[in-house]
Amino acid sequence: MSELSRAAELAAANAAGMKLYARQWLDDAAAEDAVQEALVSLLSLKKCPEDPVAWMYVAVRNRAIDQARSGQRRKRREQNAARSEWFEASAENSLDAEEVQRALRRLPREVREIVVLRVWGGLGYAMIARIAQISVGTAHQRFEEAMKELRRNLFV
Amino acid sequence: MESENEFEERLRSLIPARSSADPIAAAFEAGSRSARRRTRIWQMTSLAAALLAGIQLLHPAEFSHVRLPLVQPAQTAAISLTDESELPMARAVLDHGIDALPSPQAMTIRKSDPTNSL
Repeated sequence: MSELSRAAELAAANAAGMKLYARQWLDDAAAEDAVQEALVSLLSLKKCPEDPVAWMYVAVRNRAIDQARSGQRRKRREQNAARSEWFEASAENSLDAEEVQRALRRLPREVREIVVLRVWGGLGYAMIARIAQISVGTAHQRFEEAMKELRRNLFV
Repeated sequence: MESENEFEERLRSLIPARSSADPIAAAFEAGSRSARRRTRIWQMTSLAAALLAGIQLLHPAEFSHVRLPLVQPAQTAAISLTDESELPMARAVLDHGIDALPSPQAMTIRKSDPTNSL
């Protein structure tokens, strides 16, 4: 198995988090496409990136932003993105998935993406800063503020 | 009230909706795109070669004379000893020995056509 194939397997294992990340800009189907396209791009590389998961998040972000910018379809996508589910429904969770989704949607997108990368992407602040093209300090500050805001909105 | 970490953990326990991203399909797509790209390069190269050959066939005169840039021979400095300078110099050497010869810098240097000096 080549290094790139292993990287693709690793990226695919993290695909749910990447799709959730893409959902910050796109609807379900478009987010799915963005992740799959990023995977194709990863496998088209001549050399395997140092951190394939981080590379994939950057690729997904670029695709999601490009697609979201494509004029007329934007509004429809945002409406669809609001409707469809971001999380798997589970009775075991102490937090209601729908409520969390609503609370997340109330956050500004540039803050929300930090939360998704940190909580569901499991990435460190340095990597988040690189992906979102902000400083590490800003990433940390945004996350802290978002957590406070989420707790307020979820009454936790 | 729970700590920030506990809240983060509770959030993390929510599982993002499944993705159907398929690495095998992605690998297949990447491979076929690469093959398409290579085919396109060959097609473009063949097309360019065919066009060039077509033009050459239609306008053979344009291609029959290939003009090469003329290379001018570099002009060289040649020392020319004319009759006027040679005779007095010979006399001076006969009268006063080799010290009578002028220094090389003092000699007249004249640029001339190298073909004449050959």
